[in-house]
Amino acid sequence: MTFSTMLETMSAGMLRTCGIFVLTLIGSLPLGLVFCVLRKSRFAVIRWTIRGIISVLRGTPLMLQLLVWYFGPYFLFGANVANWRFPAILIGFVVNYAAYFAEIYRGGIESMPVGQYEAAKVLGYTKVQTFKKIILPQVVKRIMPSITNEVITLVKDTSLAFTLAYQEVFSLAKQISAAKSSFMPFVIAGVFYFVANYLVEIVMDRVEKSMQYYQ
Amino acid sequence: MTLLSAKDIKKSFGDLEVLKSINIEVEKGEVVSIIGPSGSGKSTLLRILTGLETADSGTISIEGSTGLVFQQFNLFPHWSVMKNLVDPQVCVAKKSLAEAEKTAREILAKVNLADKENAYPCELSGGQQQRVAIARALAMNPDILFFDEPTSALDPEITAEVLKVIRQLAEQKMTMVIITHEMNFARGISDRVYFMENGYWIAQGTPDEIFENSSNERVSNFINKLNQMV
Ligand SMILES: Nc1ncnc2c1ncn2[C@@H]1O[C@H](COP(=O)(O)OP(=O)(O)OP(=O)(O)O)[C@@H](O)[C@H]1O
Ligand SMILES: [Mg+2]
Repeated sequence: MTFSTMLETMSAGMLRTCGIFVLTLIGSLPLGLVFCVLRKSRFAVIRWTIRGIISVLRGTPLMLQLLVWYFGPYFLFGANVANWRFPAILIGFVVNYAAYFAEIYRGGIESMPVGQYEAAKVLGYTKVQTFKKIILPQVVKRIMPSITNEVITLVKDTSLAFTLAYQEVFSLAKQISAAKSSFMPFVIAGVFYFVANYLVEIVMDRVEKSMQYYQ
Repeated sequence: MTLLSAKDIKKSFGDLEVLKSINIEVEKGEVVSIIGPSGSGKSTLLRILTGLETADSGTISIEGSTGLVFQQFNLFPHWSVMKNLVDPQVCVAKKSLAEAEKTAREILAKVNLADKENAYPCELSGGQQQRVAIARALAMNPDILFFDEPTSALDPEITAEVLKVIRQLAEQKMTMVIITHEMNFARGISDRVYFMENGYWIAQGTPDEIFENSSNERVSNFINKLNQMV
């Protein structure tokens, strides 16, 4: 197997890795906000349920959660899980990352000085307007460094999809390496993750800079 | 015409009775100062009158709208000065953008900040920020403007520029209720002065009655102490 065919085979895996990465962010960033809002619900039942869910999601290995999402329907309901692999992976990642994002949002919201709410109230803004126009934009700036951390971790965590034998770049690297007794696939995978995170850093740096016009 | 009339206001936080029976009336065009020792309940009263806190009992009637200027300015840091003034007018008072900008420019000129409309709050000095905060409140065209120690977070040299703006407002017959520790200012600007201690008014009257020859020993002690500090 030449280097270029190896690269070609693995590039399909790179695409799948990127797919997990992008879809997880699209799903978990908003879902985290939903968790965060529900965690502050007026209703104690909702508050405690969400707290419990977040606690479990953060307190157990993502690898285990992926297995539960994938095999759960089969063991619980005898469901046919043939086409369930990719959905299970996505749900596992989205829900797990949403739990982390929810806690980051919460920290950001709680760090806002009460004076911002009071000024908004005295001027006549509604609660929803206050949150959307005044609190959230400032929270986003405050939490950007923590979000960047999570996004970088996610790039590497995508490799956990190998647990469900999904053919992303890490699974492929393992397979090809074993089949061809070559070390090269691991080098390619390593370079891929590194470059991906380098890009993440550049993008997030731009985003952070774009918000530095105020303190 | 009476713009504000509050009767028998009471407020406790847990076991702590902060306001024990407060009456206050403010006429249109009047400037009223509230003075008194720390922790006596002055801010709590203002927060009740502006809707930030609710009283446990008592009645409040206010003709028209109110504005509040905070000790800590509380500008929106992610918005330019202009946006701080314009957004509430558009979003809350439902004015058109053009109209809101026109009002904002007129008011910024009044507080001597015409050249700062594109600045962000973090680029301004404390005194400038407080003048923006006053402008933001004025842009909503309140019938009564409340101030809670508007100069207490400022360096003494900068205090004057903020007091000057408030004096101008008084000349234009803006109705104002001001909590302050600046005794000379209170004396010069006020039509009436209220003195609070432990959740009661222990004295009220014209500035001369309070500052010159108060028959109340606690009032004169408080004023003498503040004068010695200056
Ligand atoms: N939200 C609150 N919860 C509990 N206690 C409070 C609260 N707000 C105020 N207090 C208490 O009420 C009392 C009066 O406070 P307030 O802020 O009204 O005093 P003040 O006269 O404005 O004092 P200062 O001159 O220091 O600003 C204080 O003992 C304060 O600790
Ligand atoms: Mg106070």
